[in-house]
Amino acid sequence: MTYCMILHNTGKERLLEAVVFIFLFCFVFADTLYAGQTPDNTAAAGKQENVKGQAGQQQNDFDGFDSGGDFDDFDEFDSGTESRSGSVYDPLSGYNRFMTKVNDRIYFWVLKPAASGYAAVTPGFVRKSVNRFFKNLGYPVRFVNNVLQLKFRRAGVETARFLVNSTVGLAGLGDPADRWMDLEAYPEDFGQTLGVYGIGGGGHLVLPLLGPSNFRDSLARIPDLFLDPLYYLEPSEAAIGLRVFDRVNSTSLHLGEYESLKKDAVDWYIFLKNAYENRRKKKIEE
Amino acid sequence: MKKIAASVLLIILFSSAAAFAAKDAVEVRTLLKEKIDNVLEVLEKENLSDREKRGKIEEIVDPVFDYELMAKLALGPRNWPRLSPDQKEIFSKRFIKRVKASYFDKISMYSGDSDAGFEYGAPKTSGDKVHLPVTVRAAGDKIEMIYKFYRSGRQWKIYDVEVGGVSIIQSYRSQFNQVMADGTVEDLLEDLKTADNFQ
Repeated sequence: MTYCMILHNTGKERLLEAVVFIFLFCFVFADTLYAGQTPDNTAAAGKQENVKGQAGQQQNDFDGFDSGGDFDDFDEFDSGTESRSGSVYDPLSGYNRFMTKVNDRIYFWVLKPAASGYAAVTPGFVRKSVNRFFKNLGYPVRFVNNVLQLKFRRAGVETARFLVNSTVGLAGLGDPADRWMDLEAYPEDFGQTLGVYGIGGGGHLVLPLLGPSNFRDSLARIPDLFLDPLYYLEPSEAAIGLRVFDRVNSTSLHLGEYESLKKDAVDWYIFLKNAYENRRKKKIEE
Repeated sequence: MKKIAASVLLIILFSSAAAFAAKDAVEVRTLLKEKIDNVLEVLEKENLSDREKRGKIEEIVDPVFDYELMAKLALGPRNWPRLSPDQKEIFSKRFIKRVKASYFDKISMYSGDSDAGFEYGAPKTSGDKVHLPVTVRAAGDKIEMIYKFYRSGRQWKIYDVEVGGVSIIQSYRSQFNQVMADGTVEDLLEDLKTADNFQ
């Protein structure tokens, strides 16, 4: 799912074509997205009165809350990616917000309907097997990056997993290594490897179709791409097809999660950005 | 002689501190395990409606969550003082409602998943806080959570939950910071009420 769906074309012209396509696609969307977007200050102002009215009736039993002492006891939330002075470095926030909306539309208009339809006609165990098959193909990326991070035991476990699952597990459709031998996968990618050697994320960057990322992790996708077996598949149309299939299949296993998270968010873009950066930070520390 | 006495004293001090920490960790672990087991039991009852389940789950978890502290921490030390006492109350009410709804929403995703398993990791203790890692395995996925407890009087209360490296408090704080940077307290209260910008 996390693989780049576009960059893997063999010819340079095809890469160019894809980039041009994406930009065209975005501009087409730009109209529809910004059309419905006028600042809705009047509604908010109207509600203000309402809020004040309600508040007047309440007793002020929250006065004692103002001591400030609590914040000194729980100061851990300022020390994370969210620095004291502000938030994640985000020079492209305008573009990022826009691309988050584009991706959101793609999810609701294309990905979700496709995944729901597919889920309706495909039993769960088949979809889980397909998911394991694609996960097994990620072995070279995980192996190389574990080695680059000098995590030799994990690289060994990954190799054992690959050998067992590709044979006993029928080309990776099953995961006997985890189920019977307690060998867990250790996902690592080149972005994490760079992070381990002290390279920061740079600015936050939302990629078309692929979602939240940052400068470091976006560039790091390129070396990982060369370790992806699908990259070497000919014709490249077949590889694209398989990537799309992988994406639809994995989405079908997580239907409803995107919606559920989005419902909780006050600012969806900030939520995604913060979640991505913190999750990456944690994975790099592991 | 003095040296030996001093080192003995030090050892006793350290070991008793360690013993206290260990005792705290065990207490917290027992408490959380009991709560999670009770919640799972409710979720597995097939003769209850979603609303009844929710009521029962709230009865179980409400005493261990310090919702009001969570609301305050989520808004953060910079923005909390900017609210009037009335606004603080409205903010807390709406925030708590939202967090509870979200919690129930997430937890009901696991109902019907009979092989969902919970593993309790080694707790980290520092002062009056205990952070307890819990790994949830459901539907072939592994979700790493950390329940963060602090000592509140004679009880242990949860002030934050981390899911896959993402702290709920920090996540909300970054969003509230953005809202407060772009707008007013009224915008914040309004967003908290109607942020279902949903398709």
